[in-house]
Amino acid sequence: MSLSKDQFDKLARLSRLSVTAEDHDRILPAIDAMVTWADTLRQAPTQGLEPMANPHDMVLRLREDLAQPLPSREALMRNAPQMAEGFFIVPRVVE
Amino acid sequence: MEFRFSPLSELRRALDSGMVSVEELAQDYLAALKNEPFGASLAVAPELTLKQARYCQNLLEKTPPDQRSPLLGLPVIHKDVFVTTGWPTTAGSKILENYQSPFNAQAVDQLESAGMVCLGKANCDEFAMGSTNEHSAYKPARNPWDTRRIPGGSSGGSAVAVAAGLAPAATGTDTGGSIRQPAAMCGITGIKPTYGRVSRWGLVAYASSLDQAGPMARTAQDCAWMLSAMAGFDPKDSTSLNEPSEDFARLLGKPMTDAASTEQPLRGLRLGMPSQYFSNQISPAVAKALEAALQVLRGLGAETLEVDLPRTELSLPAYYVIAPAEASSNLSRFDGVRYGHRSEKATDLESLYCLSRTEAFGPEVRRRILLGSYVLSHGYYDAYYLQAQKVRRLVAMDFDRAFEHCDFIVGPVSPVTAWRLGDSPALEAAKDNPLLAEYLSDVFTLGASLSGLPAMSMPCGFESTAGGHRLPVGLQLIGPRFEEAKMLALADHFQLATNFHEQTPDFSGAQS
Repeated sequence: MSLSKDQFDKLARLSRLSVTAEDHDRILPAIDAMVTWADTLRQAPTQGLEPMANPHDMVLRLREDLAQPLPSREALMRNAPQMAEGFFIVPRVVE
Repeated sequence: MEFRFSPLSELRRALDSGMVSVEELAQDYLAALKNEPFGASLAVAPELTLKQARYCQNLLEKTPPDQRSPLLGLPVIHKDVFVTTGWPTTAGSKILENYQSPFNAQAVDQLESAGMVCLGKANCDEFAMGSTNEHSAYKPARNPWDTRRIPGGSSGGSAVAVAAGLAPAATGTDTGGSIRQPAAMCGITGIKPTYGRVSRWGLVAYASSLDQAGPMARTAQDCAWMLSAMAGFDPKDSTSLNEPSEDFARLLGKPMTDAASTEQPLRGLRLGMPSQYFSNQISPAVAKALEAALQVLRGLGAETLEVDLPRTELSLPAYYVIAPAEASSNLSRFDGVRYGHRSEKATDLESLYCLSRTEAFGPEVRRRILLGSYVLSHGYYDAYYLQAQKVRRLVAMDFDRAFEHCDFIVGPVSPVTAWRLGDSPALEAAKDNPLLAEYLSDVFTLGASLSGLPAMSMPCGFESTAGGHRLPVGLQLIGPRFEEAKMLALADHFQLATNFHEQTPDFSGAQS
């Protein structure tokens, strides 16, 4: 196995996910298998090739810096799990 | 119900002749969707559907037949990754349970403007991650040809709805085969257009450099009508192609080359058969159906020749690095703050993020996020993520070279027909690596996805099982970019010469 439990726990922290003992048994081996699989990519002759980030090698287009009509603030915030006076509520961050 | 398995073209005639009204048609499909035993839909709202239907009926009566949009009054079901203001959008995930979008996806708006009536939302794998529809957080969808089997995925509910006559047409999205593979397994027709043709605005994002939406319906003609309405430049999507609008049905029924004739409409057309696609990787039943389909195409005048796609196998790890990397980035927006599930156990901001995401993402989604984080993390980025993007270029170059020798590529969609729920595909390549079996079954669809090429699936035969069921086999066509109209015309010629697409499952035993 190329992926250790410590590395796996670090990945979980980076991904903002909690992992359980069950995940160590089920998800870790699957990810390890995929990483081993991804190692086969190194055999490909890619010297001198540019990475392909867009299949048409399109350069990202920026729109003009103009105000756009948007749904109302109320409509945009309707799905918030917790809100008050037009703000999203989160647990206390600053003591 | 008289029209349940009719293609859109027949429904058009029925509406235009006044044989049925838009509202009656919508009501018939709503009745079929109610209590259906296939797990095809995640949300229906009959009063909203009927309101749209009445509006369209009114418009139809006021518009002379020759000025009507071909889609006016025809029902459609949207995959649950298209956001809709009327119906909740979950993307098959608990993290978006009861989410109500403040706007419609661009493709939803365009189909509505063309007169389509929305029946509701179709089941799918969570965040479109999966090839079986078993990764839906709500329920698996079942294949109407044998309800113990998967319908394919991730647009499984869409394919099931069309195949079981619960909707005459559906939308789907395809990141690595998610339109083509369920279309193949359910015996319907579906097309993933060139990347950038259909706006991604309002699609719940999975892997943005690969995600592309398209239609799923009973015939190539139906898909052409729908694609004409769905495609088009959208300034709101930064990767939308600035191409003029097209009538994708304009070449249907016409000879395909100068050498073609009425009897041989495909004469002069060169179809490439990649040796890597016609290998021992495909099951005998799929191979047999493909060979028979190729005979039909040759009979119509097409020439077949061998082409080489040497990076076919490498497209698997390339895709399963790139897609999870993009997914881990896209799904970081689900933080339990602005929308979606929020954990009740959180004590601080950090635990709010971690617990909300862990409680509401399913195992397949967590697996892909973790893998994506790995290949993007310090020390691995060049070796995995950048290397995968370089291999992606090699894959695309293979296709460019192949299209120097042929007009279209033909091959299988899936190496096997639909497998049993809870089971894995029986693949030679999966014997050493059972954990990867579901991924390995995507081997023939990923190339077109990585290369941004248009590709479609159409029914080309059946496998008869020992249990007395018939399981559909799909034929894949892959074309050069922007050649959707010609590809749909080719598929239409095949469908004029065959009746695989007209077959319907016998599910009388499964109907509740």
